[in-house]
Amino acid sequence: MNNFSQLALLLTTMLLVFLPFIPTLYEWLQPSDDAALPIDQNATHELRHFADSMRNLIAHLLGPEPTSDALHHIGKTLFHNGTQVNVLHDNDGLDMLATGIALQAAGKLAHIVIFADIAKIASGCETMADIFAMRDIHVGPSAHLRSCCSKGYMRLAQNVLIHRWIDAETISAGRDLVVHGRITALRSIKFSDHSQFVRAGAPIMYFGEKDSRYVSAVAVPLPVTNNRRYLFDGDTTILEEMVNDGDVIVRGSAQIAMECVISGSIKAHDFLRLQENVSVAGSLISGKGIVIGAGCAILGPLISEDDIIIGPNSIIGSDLVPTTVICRRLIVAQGVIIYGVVTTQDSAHVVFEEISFGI
Amino acid sequence: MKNVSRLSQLGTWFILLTMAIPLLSSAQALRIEEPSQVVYSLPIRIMTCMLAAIVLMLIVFTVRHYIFTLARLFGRQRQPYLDIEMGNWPEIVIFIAAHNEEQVIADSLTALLEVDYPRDKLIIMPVNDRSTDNTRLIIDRIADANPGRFHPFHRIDGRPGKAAALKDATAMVGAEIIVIFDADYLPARGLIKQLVAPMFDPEVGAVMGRVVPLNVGHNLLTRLLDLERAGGYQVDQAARMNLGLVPQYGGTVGAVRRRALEEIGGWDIEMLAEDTDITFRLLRNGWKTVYQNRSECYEEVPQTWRVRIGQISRWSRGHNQVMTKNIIKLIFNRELLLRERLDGAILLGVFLMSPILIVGWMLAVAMFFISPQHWVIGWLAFFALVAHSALGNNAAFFEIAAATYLDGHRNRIRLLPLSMLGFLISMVTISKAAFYQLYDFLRHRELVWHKTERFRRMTIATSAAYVDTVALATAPGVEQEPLLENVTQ
Repeated sequence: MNNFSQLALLLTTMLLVFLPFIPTLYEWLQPSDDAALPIDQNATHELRHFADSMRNLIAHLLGPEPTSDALHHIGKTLFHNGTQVNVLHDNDGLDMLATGIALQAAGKLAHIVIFADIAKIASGCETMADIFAMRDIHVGPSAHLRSCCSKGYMRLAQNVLIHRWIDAETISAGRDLVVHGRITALRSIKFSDHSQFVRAGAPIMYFGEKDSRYVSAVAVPLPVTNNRRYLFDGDTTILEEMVNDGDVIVRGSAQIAMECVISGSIKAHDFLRLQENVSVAGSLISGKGIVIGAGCAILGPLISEDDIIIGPNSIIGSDLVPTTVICRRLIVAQGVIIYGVVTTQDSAHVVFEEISFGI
Repeated sequence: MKNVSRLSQLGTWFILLTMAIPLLSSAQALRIEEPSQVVYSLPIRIMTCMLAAIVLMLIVFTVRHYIFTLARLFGRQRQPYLDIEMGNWPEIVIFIAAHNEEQVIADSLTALLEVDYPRDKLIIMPVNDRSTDNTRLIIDRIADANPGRFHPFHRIDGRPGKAAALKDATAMVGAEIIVIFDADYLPARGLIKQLVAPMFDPEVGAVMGRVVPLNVGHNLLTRLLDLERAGGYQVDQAARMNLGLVPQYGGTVGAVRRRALEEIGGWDIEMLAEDTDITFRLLRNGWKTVYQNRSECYEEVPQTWRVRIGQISRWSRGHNQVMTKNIIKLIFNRELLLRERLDGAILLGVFLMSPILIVGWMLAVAMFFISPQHWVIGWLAFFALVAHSALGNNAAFFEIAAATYLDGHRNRIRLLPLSMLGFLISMVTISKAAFYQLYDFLRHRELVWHKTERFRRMTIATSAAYVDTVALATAPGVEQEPLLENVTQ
């Protein structure tokens, strides 16, 4: 190897060794990314984030409680950050809603459409506008909306599709509702058969009328403070005489016998199954699925890393202590009442007829 | 497209060859040197065995880093408690551990006033542990200005140390959940609920949130520490949570269940690293620790190497102290899953790897010169490869790179090569601390807790508290405090 080759080899080696340090030195001497990482980014994940943002925006645009006269005074259009906002009034609103065509046009033009009076969305209407109703809103069958918010009552006819979120004071949903995002209400939501959503939240959520074929739930037990913890290894069936005054942890599958009353939380590393009329004054946690029989009363929260099935006439949470249901997929039977919020990774399905899940 | 495919094939072959060469050379050397032909002296045999053991340990840690990073990047993410928005929230107490924290305590207390946890179930207790500066006056002033919100505990005597202070504070309240912050931490509004939410799981004994450095841009050290923290939390802790292993409770930005604490015998005031001690005692008693990656809180990282070296020395001594206390009981605890025992044991040995690595390097160099066996060269090459993987971009630093990718702030990854500097300093510091710890143990000396120095300048909130404090201090009969100069600056 001659001198030139040796020098070339040395230089190549040095280049390879020090090459990564060139951007390093540049970044050190002229920092381009030296700010603290932003934290508390969970705001958009909060269930009511988009609904509350919309309400705040409308309050900012129109004032907190605009009267009907004031709304008519505003006119038909206003602008927000350069974007046209359409304010629709009674006469022109009803004209447009008869066909839905004009609303589609408004959706193309405007980012936000505000209904100053009682609003009606025609059947089959499809729009990408964000809709805000100052009073009640009625959405016709087979309408496809992006997002919709109402300061009053919202009635959804059957087969409505919501791409992002809906929010109102009270919502009554027809059959076959599909919400690809969130459905929230300040007071209550009534779901019908074959409804589907990803996240939902309201002080009280009804899933159809009580199913008379099954037992009814007893009152949700009040929370108690306890200091006991029962550990079970392997698959276990919990009977009432075994434990009723503390938390239960089962390192395997757990089955809670009929009419058990447990004044603590239950965790199963595997499946967790509650038979009929079980009452739990605490949370249910499962590494796999949770199956809740008919007429159970659970204070919550319910957390499953897989699916949850809630049987007919069960009650989750209470009006005093609203709770949270978290799972991959949720299936809710008729007559169930949930106080609080539901968050699923995939979707929640409301199924009134009896079907077999093979669990 | 064809070129890309060819390049990827070439790359794959290159990697395979890179891996294969040292292995083949080892095998070749071993084949040439048969035991019958070589006379092994006892010291050489011992050194060889030690080197082989060290190589094995390095491989274990290297594989561990790879698994964690890949699990974090591509595996299923487990954050089952993050979405709990409503529930029967338990009564909690927040301890703000403070020892001479006049520079930072006001900010922390002010931030806690804004949290969204139900007020009727929340006790905020600043734990002023024998402070000799104006921490007490600042706490009292802020408590007086917000009646009913704070319940200060001024500890004026007793054994020094955070564990001892927390033990005394715990005895004063009966809340079900204990949330702990150091005085330099700034909790966000929703953080407390996030830290308490996993406690709805009756098996969870402790919860840990993510620590995010606030003073990143101060100098090179703070930027390197930011990278290190990102790798440690965003990848290492998160992966341990995802894989159902042993996430570590870090003593701050965390919560402990009182019932679990009592079951394991409370705070051990002998421990320098009471947080790690709690993690492993909980684990041994069937309680889980949960890491919440999205529960983030700002902290202040050391701005000088002197303070950093002191901090890491304390961590090293504390961690090794916990290791000697727990490792045997952990390994032979048949109640735990095998993966928990394995991960727990490796975690306990983390601070031993620095002195072991130094010994490994020394052995490798020594054997290179004194060993007559050729096969050592093969082992040396293999060792070099593994050491490179352990130190280099493909293992521990791979975690940091993945963390910056996940955090979405990618320009800071350019500083990664300089992390070697921090790594080498840490390695020497940890080794020195381990040596002195052994020395102190042999001489029956007690381990001493040293507080980490703060660098944050006085904020408006702190200054306001000072002004009021000064007004109090200058009242008739009250001794003048020396901080007047600071306030007027």
